[in-house]
Amino acid sequence: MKYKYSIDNKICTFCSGCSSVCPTMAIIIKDNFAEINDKCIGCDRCNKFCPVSAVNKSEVS
Amino acid sequence: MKYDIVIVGASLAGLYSAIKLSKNNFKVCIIDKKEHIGLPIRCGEATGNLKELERFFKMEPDWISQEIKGMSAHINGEEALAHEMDDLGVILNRDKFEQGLADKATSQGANLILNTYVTNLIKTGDKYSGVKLENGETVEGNLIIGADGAEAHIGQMAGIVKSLPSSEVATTLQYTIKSKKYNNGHLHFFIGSKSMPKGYIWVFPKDKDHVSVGGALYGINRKMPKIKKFVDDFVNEYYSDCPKDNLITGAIPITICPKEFVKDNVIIVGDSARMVNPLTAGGIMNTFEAADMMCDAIIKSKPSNYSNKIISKHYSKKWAKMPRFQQKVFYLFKELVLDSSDEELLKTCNAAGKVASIIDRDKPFQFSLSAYYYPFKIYLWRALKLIGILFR
Repeated sequence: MKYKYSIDNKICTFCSGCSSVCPTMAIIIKDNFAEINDKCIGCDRCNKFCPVSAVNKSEVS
Repeated sequence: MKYDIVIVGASLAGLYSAIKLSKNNFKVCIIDKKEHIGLPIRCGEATGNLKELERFFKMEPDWISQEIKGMSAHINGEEALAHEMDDLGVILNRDKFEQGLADKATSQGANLILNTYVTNLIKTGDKYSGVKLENGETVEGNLIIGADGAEAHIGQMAGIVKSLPSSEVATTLQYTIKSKKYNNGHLHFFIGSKSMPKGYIWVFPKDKDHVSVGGALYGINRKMPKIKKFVDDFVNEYYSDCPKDNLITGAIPITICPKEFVKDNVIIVGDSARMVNPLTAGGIMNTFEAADMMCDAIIKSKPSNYSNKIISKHYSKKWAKMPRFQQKVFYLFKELVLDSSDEELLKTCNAAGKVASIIDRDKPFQFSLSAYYYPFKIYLWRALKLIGILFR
């Protein structure tokens, strides 16, 4: 099963913590903007890290 | 535009380096993705004392909120250690502090570019020669300094560091709470299996009416609840009817720094070089110390066209030799403390009380010996098991 990861910009505190644990530099965080790009390999580290649970994981077929 | 030095990240390491290098007639450009220097604050704001800070620059009065008067430890809510001490450290106004440093850097001629993401490094031949910005423009420089914090994208792009592994990152979360409870100028640490297993909760004074209440969870572990649950439980127990705001979070490297900070004209410093004390998760003083050393190395390397070998000799190798930064010892203590029962933590606190009462401020060597001796006595058998870490 494959998952697609995204960041809920309404919950995110833009701390860049997930970006620090991301092994592929797939996460771009600016002041009020967070995005996971297609470099994502689905390792789930950002999701496990996020203190405020702003990372969404959805199934893709 | 061509500069001598391009610094990515306008926080403590980046700003301090910009000040020191521009003062020595280097043409410096600092780039940061944030819109405003110092904001939002992502820091507990406690650091070393004024004397230590003033080795690097003159501290303006509005950069400091107050002096720290002492330290207290609480195990599962019971006070286990309370020690008054002069010159322990200060609580910063980190936003004003960083803005002050930025003003100083720009007044000396450094160019500051804000609200701009660095997307790539540019390579010419076998060396990096500049950075590419999100708007497609390029900024060229002889040396590129990666001071971009725990993210360490510049260091990763240059192949100096890797992203933080799950076991070597602390998740932190902090609220600012309007209350006078535990607002006595002490740094309060709450540890123990009930309050905070695998980490600590802190209550630091913020100003007369506010405290910073936060927590650090060492290592990401699927079986453990997230840090927010621990801090929220603590806040509900101790500060249930106090207004809280300003939720901040962050990642702190609790690992051992790489052996080399320089490669192909890219240099890393501060959190991006993992220069944090892995036991306390504090890094401000280490950052200034390292940035100062790095700038000296850069100045020394200028006549040889910024030879990486000379920078490495006067920065990476010199840093590894400084006894104060023996991260491995702190890393070992961290492993021990995280592995301790409540009873052992209490013993440690009692020992720390004894150590604190015999500290001779004028003889730091004696302090370090006794500070290491007591925990080792308590944990001897486990220390032996973990001693392999020292040889990692």
